[in-house]
Formats: sequence, C-alpha cells, structure tokens
Amino acid sequence: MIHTQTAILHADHIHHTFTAANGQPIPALEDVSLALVPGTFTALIGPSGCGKSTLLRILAGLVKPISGQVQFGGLALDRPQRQISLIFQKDNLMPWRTVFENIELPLQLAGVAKTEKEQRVAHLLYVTGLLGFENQYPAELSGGMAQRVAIARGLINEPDVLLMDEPFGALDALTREQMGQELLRIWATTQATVLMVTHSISEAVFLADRVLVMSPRPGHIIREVHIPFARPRGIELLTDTTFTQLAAQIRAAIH
Amino acid sequence: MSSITSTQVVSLSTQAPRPLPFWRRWLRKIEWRLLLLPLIGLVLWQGWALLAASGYYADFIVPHPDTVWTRLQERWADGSLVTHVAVTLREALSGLFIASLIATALGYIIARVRIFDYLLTPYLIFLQAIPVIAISPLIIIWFGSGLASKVVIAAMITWFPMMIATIVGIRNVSPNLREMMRANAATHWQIFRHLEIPSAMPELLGGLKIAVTLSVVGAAVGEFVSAREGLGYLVMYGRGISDTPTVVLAVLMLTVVSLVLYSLVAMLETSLLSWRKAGKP
Repeated sequence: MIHTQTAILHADHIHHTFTAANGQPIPALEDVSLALVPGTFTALIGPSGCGKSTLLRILAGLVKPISGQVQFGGLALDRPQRQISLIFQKDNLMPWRTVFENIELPLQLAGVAKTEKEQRVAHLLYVTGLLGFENQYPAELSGGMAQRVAIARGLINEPDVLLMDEPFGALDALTREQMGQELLRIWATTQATVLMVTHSISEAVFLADRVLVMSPRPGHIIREVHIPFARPRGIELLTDTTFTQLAAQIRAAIH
Repeated sequence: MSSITSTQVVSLSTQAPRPLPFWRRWLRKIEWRLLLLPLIGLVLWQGWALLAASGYYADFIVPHPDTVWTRLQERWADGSLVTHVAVTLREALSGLFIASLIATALGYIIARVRIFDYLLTPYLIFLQAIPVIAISPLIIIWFGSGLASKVVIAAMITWFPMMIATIVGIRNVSPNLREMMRANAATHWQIFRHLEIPSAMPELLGGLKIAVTLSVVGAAVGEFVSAREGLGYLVMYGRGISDTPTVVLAVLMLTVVSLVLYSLVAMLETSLLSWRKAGKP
C-alpha cells in the first residue's frame, strides 16, 4: 500500500452496510482501504454487486460509511467537494439544458464569472470533440456523445480527483473502445487523479496504472496489480502478450 | 490517435441537422387549424340564426344571434362589458395566484417530507371533497359579496389541481440527477432552482392549464351567489330581467376569457418547454 502522506484521496478501513427492504442488514463493504496517488489512474474491478459503486459514493462524500474514514488532501471528507468529480454510468444530463449549459452547470453552481465560464466550456468542448454540438439538447445526441458531455462536465471544475462509475457501461463495445482512448487523451491534458470502476478487464488494464480487484459481497480489495505500460498507449497494446498475461492474472483473481 | 479523433469530430459535425429554408420554417409555424375557424363560426352562427328564426322557440328561449350581437354593441358602447370582463378576470387571476402560492408550497413539502404527506394529505383530500359550489353561499356570508369572496372561491377550486401537479412534478425529479447535483456540492437552494423547478415544469404547466380555466368557473360561481358586477353577475342579471340575449352574451364572454387564459398558458408552455421537441423527427 502507498503511504498516506503522498495520497490525495485516502480511504481507511471502510465498512458499510445496507438495510434491505425487509429490514435485514446487508454487509456491502468490509475493511476497504485504498490510497490514490496524485496524477495516477486506478481501475477498480470486481463482480456485480460487490459494492464498487458504494465505495465510489463514499469516496465522493455522498454516502457516509458505517465505520472508517475518508481523507481528501489530508482532511476528513464529510460531504461532496467540488474538487472531487463523479462521473456516472448514465450520462445524467439535464434534458432541458443544451450541451453547453450542461457542461457549464458545475461552474454555475460554484458561482464562476460568465466570461471565465465561457472560456472553460469552449476549451472542454474542443478537448472532448464536442465543438459544433454546444447548442444541441441531450435528446439529439448519441450515447457516446452524451457520455462525452458528461465527462466534459466532470472535468470543467478542473478537479483533483475524478471518480468514474462504469462511465462506458451503457455504450456498445465499439464506442466503448473508442471512448477509452479518448479518455486517455483527454486525461493527459489534465492533472487529475482518476479512480474508475469498470466491469471490463481489458478496459482496466488498457487504461490504468494500477488495477484493484474486489471480492464478491461484502467487498474488500483482494488484489492489486500494477500495469507497467508506458503512455501514450495505443490500440495495438490489446494484443501485447504482457497485456494478455496481466488480464489473465486479474481474471484469475476475480474467480 | 489524434488523427482518429479529428476525423471523428469532423464526420460527427456533419450530422448536425441542416436548418430548413426560412419559408418552410414559416409555413410550419402557421396554425392551419385556424383557417377552419371562420368556416365553423359561420356554420354555427347561421345554424343558430335559422333555429331562432324558425319560430319553433320563443325569442325568450332561443334568442336570435343578431340580438346577442346588438347587446354586445350596447354594452361595448357604454363600457359595461369591459368592466364585467375586468372584474371577473381580476377575481379569477387573484384566486389562481393565491392558490398557486399555497398549493405549490404545500405540494412541495408533501412531495419532499414524508411526515407532512402522512399527516396533511388526509385533511387536504377532505378539504377538496367539500363541493365548492355548495359551500359558496357560506363563503359569501363570511367574506361579503365583493372581491374577497370570489377570490376565495376561485382559489378553493384551483388549489387542488395545482397541488397534485406539484407533488407529481417534484416526485418525478430523477434521483440520478439529484445525486449528480449533490456530488457537485449543490446547496438545497441550487437543487431547487436548477433541478427541481425546471424538471417539474411540464407537470406544473399541466396543472396550471387545468387551474386557469377552473379559476374562471370559480369567479363566476361566486358571482352567481351574490355580486354587483362581473360576467357571472351579468348572467344572473339577464336571467332576472328575462333578457336571454344578455345571458348568452355573458356565457360567450366567460368562454372567451377562459380560452384566452388557457391560450396564454399554452404559449408559455411552448416557450418554456421548447427543449422537449429536441431529438424528435
């Protein structure tokens, strides 16, 4: 494990339990500790229902764990912070706002001045390949385009930490692969620390510096795999033998 | 990789819909249905005139439309028509305004706070179950025969649809969008202002469409019971002096007032909810 001092976001012995509809407590997370080093890309992978999304919500300050603590920049995290951005599986765009207005939302909530808002949105429209779409409504966009808007919105505050909950989970396989590469390219233009929950082993290995594997419920981290590939990474990596071996290792750890 | 990206952007940009030529956009905006209006009006008017002139019914039962037209001109000339319309309009809109404030506030807390729903809803339904028309004489006794009693009656008849619309609208706010707002460190006020209000707007405007025509009914009901002016008063006055054309005129004017108010809300809806047309062929 990485030393606490160097980490920007740090979870310490997190336990969490849900209450089912019949009142039964369901243990969701069991003694999860993790630390995110600034500027790194971490992928979190595990079987369905192992509490990955819950962990992400705890790290975003949306859910308070039963026990354990989250520290952000050395301080206890007790509510959502603008410097931690959460991107969801669904694009969660407001259908009544245009692409521009959706991306602008976090700046509007933070009370940023108009000219600065416009500059920053324009920059992200360019970075995410959305130029020319700024006046469209979400209903006019394809799934991949809508998720790009969500990513642009997640980046607009220039967050220190970007938490992503299966951001490409609702996309088809082809778009998904493309979006993964796009994400790496966009990420390279930022200094954000990324933690991404995914179901796809190859996506995790392709994108991340480090893959954390979670056990079935109650989830805890059972394996940490370092991914040594240099960046920028291209699509040819997918057929690399080391890549295949790492993927096999992770697959073995899950099952 | 960057070359892949740039070609992608270019090819996607061309997917943006090409705007229609101005004359086709203009043609689309015309309400073609309205072209039928003079025709339908003429048929109704002539049918009515034939029936009245046929001699089957006394003038007292079915007055000739020309007589109604004469009454309209008389009341226009002496200014009393405008006064009656203005009085009824003022009563209806004041009632609607007060009811909207109370109903949206109540609807909001009922939708958001479970204990209020549990405690208040039975009593509110009880309140709604009281027939407004039956209780209106009592309202006149309590609030007098002036403006106040009509405002109360109009409010009593319009608050319920507004409240239900608010409850449905606020309950329909996407929990995912709520979570997104919270993750962006939005305050309660910001969630209200930037999420709940725009998200509930379709339901709110639907409720307003129902309430706005009901508000005219409320004002007229109050005027039936006791009033010295207003279109409902005009109906009763015409009946009292056995001048059926005046009754017909007043009913027609009530209809026009309702229609105009409804159209204003419909126009408001078109401009506020223009985003709903996006992405539909």
